[in-house]
Amino acid sequence: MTAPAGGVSAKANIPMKKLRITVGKKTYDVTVEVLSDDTPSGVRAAPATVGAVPSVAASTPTPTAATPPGAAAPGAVVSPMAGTVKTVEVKEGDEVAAGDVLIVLEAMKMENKISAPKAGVVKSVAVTEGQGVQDGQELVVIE
Amino acid sequence: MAIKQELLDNLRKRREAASIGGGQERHDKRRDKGMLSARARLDLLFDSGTLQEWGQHVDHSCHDFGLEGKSLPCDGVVTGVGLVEGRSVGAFSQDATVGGGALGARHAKKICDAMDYAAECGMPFVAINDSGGARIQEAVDSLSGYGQVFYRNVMLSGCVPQIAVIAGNCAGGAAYSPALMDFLIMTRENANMFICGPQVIKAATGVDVTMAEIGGAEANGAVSGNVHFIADNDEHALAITRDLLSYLPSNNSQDPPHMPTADIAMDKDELMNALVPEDHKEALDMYAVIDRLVDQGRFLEVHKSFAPNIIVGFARVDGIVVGLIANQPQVKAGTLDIDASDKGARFIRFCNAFNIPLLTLVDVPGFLPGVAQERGGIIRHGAKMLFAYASATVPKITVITRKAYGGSYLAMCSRDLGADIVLAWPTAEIAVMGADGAVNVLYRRELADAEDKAARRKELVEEYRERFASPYMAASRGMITDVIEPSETRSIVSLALRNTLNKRLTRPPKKHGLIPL
Repeated sequence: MTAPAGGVSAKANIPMKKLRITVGKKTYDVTVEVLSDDTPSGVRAAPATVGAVPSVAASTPTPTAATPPGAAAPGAVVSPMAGTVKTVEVKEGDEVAAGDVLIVLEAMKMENKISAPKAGVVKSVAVTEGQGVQDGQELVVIE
Repeated sequence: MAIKQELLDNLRKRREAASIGGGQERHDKRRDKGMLSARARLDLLFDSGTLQEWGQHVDHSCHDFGLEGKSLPCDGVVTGVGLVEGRSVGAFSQDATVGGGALGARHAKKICDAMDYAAECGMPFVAINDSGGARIQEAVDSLSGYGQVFYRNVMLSGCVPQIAVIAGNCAGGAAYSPALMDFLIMTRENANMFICGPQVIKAATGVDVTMAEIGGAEANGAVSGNVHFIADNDEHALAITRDLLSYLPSNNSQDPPHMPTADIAMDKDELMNALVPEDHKEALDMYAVIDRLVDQGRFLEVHKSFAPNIIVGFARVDGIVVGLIANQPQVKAGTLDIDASDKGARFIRFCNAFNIPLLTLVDVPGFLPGVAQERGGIIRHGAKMLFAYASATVPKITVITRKAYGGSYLAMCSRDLGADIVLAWPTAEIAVMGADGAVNVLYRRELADAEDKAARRKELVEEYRERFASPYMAASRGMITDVIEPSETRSIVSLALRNTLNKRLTRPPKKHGLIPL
C-alpha cells in the first residue's frame, strides 16, 4: 500500500485516515485515502447488524443476548423487520417506561408496536412517519 | 451369629469416602458460587432416597502422568437410576471436585452402562454435565469414551427422552453429547457451553470475544438456540427437569402421562372472545390465548428466548398432554423465519416421536421477507416445518385464529398436511396473499387506468378482503372442519383431543425420511 507521506493527499478534498494494523505480531502504520464515505450526508445508512438484534417484542420481553460484536449502539431500538413507519409515538427528550410504544411499524399485514425495552429518555428518533425501514435499522435511541 | 462388624464398618467407610468425592474444601468453594454437588443434584432430581447408584466403587484405570496410585472416587461421575414422581429415570451427574469432573475410560463406561440400562428398560435419561472435558492423562481412551457416549445418545434418540442439564463447564467435544439430546437446560451463572473458547477464537481469528458472548446461557438460549431452558440456578434447573418429565412418556412405545378429567366442560369462555382485537392489523397476544386454553394456565414453554415469533411448549387440555405450537403475532408479526422454522420443526418431531398430540394455533402472515432470509436458506429451513408436520402421525389439531397466508398457512399444519381437525375463528383470513398485494397483481391494468387510483384501490382491497380474507372460502372447499367462536375453542379442542386419541397411522416402511437439514 503506497500513500503520500504526511497524510496530505495529492488530490485535494480526499480525506486521509491513518490506521494501525496488526498482523500476527507485527504492527504496521498505514495511511488510507477515503474515496467514499459510507454515510453520505442526508441519507442514513442502516447500521450493520451481526447476530441477534436487541429484542423489541411488544408485551413479551425476551431476555436480550449479550451484545454481539458490531451490533447497534447501546440503547438503540432497531426495526425487527422491513416495513413502513406508520406513526412515531415519541419525540426527542420524552421520558418513556419499559413497554411504552415508540413506533408503529406497518409490515406483514400488521401494525406492529415497537416498544421501549427499558425505561429512559428518548435521545434521538431516526425515522419519520411514512419512511421505509430495513430489518435492523435504528429507529429510536433510549438513554 | 451376625455379620462381622468390621465388614460393615469397611463398607460404610467406603461409602462415605465416595460421597465426599474430591473433598469438603472443593465442595465449599463451589457452594460459595451457588453450585451444588453432583450428589445433591441427583437428590433434587429424584424422589427422596430413591437413587440406586451404579458403580460407586469404580476408580480410574490410568497408569500414566502420576495418576497411578491416586484415587479418583467414582471416577468423577455418579450414575444410577431413581424415581421421578414414581417413574424410573436413569441419570448421571459429573463430579467436578474429582479431577475436574474430566472424562476418562471408566467414567465413560459408567455413563454408557447407565444409558444402555435406560434404553433396555425404557426410561428417560438425564445427563447432568459439569466437566472439564477429556481427561488428558488417558489420551485417546478419553476420546473414545466420548465417542461411545455420542453413539448411545443417537441409539437412545427417539426411544427414550434425553434431557441434558448444563450446570458447569461443557466444552469442546463434550458439548456434542448434550447437543445430541432432546432438551438442554442451562444454569444462568456458572455454566458454559462452547466448542472453541475465547482464547482459541482469538488465536485463530484475532477476534476478542467474552465467554458470555459465545458460551453463556443467554448466548446459547437466545442467540444460537442450542439451549431450550435457562435456569436461575441448580435447584431451578432440576425443577424444570422434573416438570418437563411430567409431560413425557417413559419411552416411545407409551403414551404421555395423560390425566383425563372425567368430564369435559362444554361451557363457553366468553373472555376468549374479548381477547381478539377488533382491528385485523392489531396483534393478538398468543400467550393470552394459550393461558385460557390450557389447564390452569400451566404451560411449560420450550425455547422461550429463541425465535420468540413462534411459541412451543407442553400443556394439558382437560388432562390430555399436548405439544403446543403457536405463532406470536406480537413478535415480527408472527412470521416464520429461519430460526422459527428450526424451532418449530424440532419440537414437532420430538412430540411425534413420543406420541404427544400436536395442537397448533395459527396467526401467520407469511414467511419473513428479506435478503438475509433468502440467502440464509429460508427455503431449506421453512421446508422443515412442512416435513415435520406432514410426517407426524400423532393427533394433529389446528386452530386458525386470524392470519393464515400462502405457504405459511400450509406450513402451520393445514388440512392438506394431514391435520385431523382444523378449526377456524370467524376472524380467520385464509388466502394466498394479503389483500394489498393481491389487488396489485390482479388489478394492475384497472388501477393504472383508474381516475382516482387511491380510491379505486381501497375499494378493490376491501372487496378482496371481504371475499377472500375469511374462513368461509376455505371452509366452502372442505379445508376447515368447523368455524367456531373463540369462546368455544377450549371445549371443542378438548373434545377433538378425546376423539383423536386412539389415532393410529402407519407410513410406508423405510430407514428414515430425509428432512431437509
